Amino acid sequence: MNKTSNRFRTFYLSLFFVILYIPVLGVVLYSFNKSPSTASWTGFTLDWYRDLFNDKVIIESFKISIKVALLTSILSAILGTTTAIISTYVTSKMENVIRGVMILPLLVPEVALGVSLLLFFSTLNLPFGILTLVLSHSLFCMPYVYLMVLLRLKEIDISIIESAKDLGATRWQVIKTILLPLVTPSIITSSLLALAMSLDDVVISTYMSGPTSTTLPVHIFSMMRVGVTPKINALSTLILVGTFFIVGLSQLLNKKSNQ
Amino acid sequence: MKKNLKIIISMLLSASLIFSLAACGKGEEAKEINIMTWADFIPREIIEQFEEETGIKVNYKEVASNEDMQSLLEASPDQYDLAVVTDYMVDILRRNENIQKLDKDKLPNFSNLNPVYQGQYYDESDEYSFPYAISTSFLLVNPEAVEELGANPITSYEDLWQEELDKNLVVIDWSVEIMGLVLKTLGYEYNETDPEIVAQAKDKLFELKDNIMRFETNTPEDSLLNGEAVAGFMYSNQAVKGQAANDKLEPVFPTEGFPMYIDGFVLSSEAPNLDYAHEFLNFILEPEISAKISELTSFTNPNVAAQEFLPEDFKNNIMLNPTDDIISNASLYIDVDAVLEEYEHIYSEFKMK
Repeated sequence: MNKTSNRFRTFYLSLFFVILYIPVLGVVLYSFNKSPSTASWTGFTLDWYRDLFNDKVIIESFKISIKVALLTSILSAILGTTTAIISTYVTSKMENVIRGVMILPLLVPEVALGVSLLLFFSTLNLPFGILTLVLSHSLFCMPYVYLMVLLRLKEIDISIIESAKDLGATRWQVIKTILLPLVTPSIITSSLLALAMSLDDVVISTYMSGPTSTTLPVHIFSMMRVGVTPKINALSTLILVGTFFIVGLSQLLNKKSNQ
Repeated sequence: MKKNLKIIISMLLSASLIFSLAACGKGEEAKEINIMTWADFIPREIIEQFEEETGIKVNYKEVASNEDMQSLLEASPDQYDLAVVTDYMVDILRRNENIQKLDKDKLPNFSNLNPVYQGQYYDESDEYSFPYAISTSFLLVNPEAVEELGANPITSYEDLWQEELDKNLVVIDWSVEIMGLVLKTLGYEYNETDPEIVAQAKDKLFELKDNIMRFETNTPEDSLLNGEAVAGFMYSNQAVKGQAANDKLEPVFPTEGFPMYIDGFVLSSEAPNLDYAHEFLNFILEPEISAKISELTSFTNPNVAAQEFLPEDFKNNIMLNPTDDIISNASLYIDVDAVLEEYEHIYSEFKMK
């Protein structure tokens, strides 16, 4: 019984991953295709990679996307964690209200959010660019950090906190020495999620970027009108490699810290 | 509690201070213009040449659709000077007063434009916009392959219904285009609303289903290149790519008439840099610049004075440079909103058949 269930498990997982990654492998493969169309394979070339590095607009928008994503994940991490910790100290009614408000940005359709933020920031006379991008991205990334950290907080054994209080720890000491270290893995994971969501965003970024700061996904989408070349395949391949590298690195560090 | 309150108040004060400082920093006088359109629609080279010649910095904002541009012009008109939008959007923007009239005194090159593209329904007096890029859609055909199938040579939309073309056509995947095609064969216009006529078109449309191999909006020319189709209905820039890869493929402008799309410049109602914006527009209208733009973008050129500067192979390619005669048989899509829902409904049924 065990052997067959093991084999079934392996088979199912392998099939799952194959189906998941075949389109991605297709993208990688065609980044080396001489012909700009996916109709046929005409030869191996690194031309598209060369085109990519010569394309100032793509490089510029990539830099902007990364900048915004990093700042967003930091801001979301701070705001989300703070809110999660605060909501463990309030009444359960208040906690429900907080949770409702935090989830709201996720429920509003992105276009509605984008247009209303545009009007709001215009009224405040904020310069549109990195600032507005980070603020708006944090708005929909923060709920994820909040939810993940809150979940972890609820799992903490309340007796640890009570014994700390008995020993004379102030609220801030409890937070600093017990809560924060315990939720750090959750903070890191949800920050990475925030990073990914910010990098990915198209709709809100269109409205928030102003006349100057186009982010990478907006640039790629707006290229559709004129036509997409395998330069984009090359870019995707590099991003993929980079992502695997970062995730692999963090897994390695995780293993080391567990030892 | 008192201490916490103090912290909160000081944070709010510093936050508002930061905001007001940030707002202050915005009012600098810079020599720049803000343009909004699809990526690479105005080639980098042209932008850079303008910046070099005039010292005016061009902020090129990239958007993905006409509707995005509409929202941005509606919500923050003082942030943008120029936008390049498609014909129907010029009409909408004009009616909603999101764009303002061009100052023709500042545009001496305006007379270079080909009148065959002007005076359209969306801007009859040509005061709010001018054409920048023209594209059309028509049939791209592999005449040899059509013959091999035993079908008659394709010269019109009607020819697509031939039985011999079973599973050998590729078309753009959009309800309005396909319905338009069918309505044209019945002698009507693209935006027909009369229920009887629409029902007629629906029946005729359903007859075409068996002949269509593939619905593809992004790269329909690929189907002709890899042989899965012998003819296709697609946009001019796609047909050009197809022919470049296989010179046996030929364009066919259907006798019933075919669609044309005009993308043009508009000026935001609260454009912050009017003088520089007009300088840019005048630059675009210069013959040599216009010719270079067409060469780089493969869109049809609306500038008569630019004709002599176009490269030979561009000039002689009727897909890229259709004669005024051919264009007289082309028409814009007007008032798509009135028919969109109905056509989408029919089209979904059609695809599920």
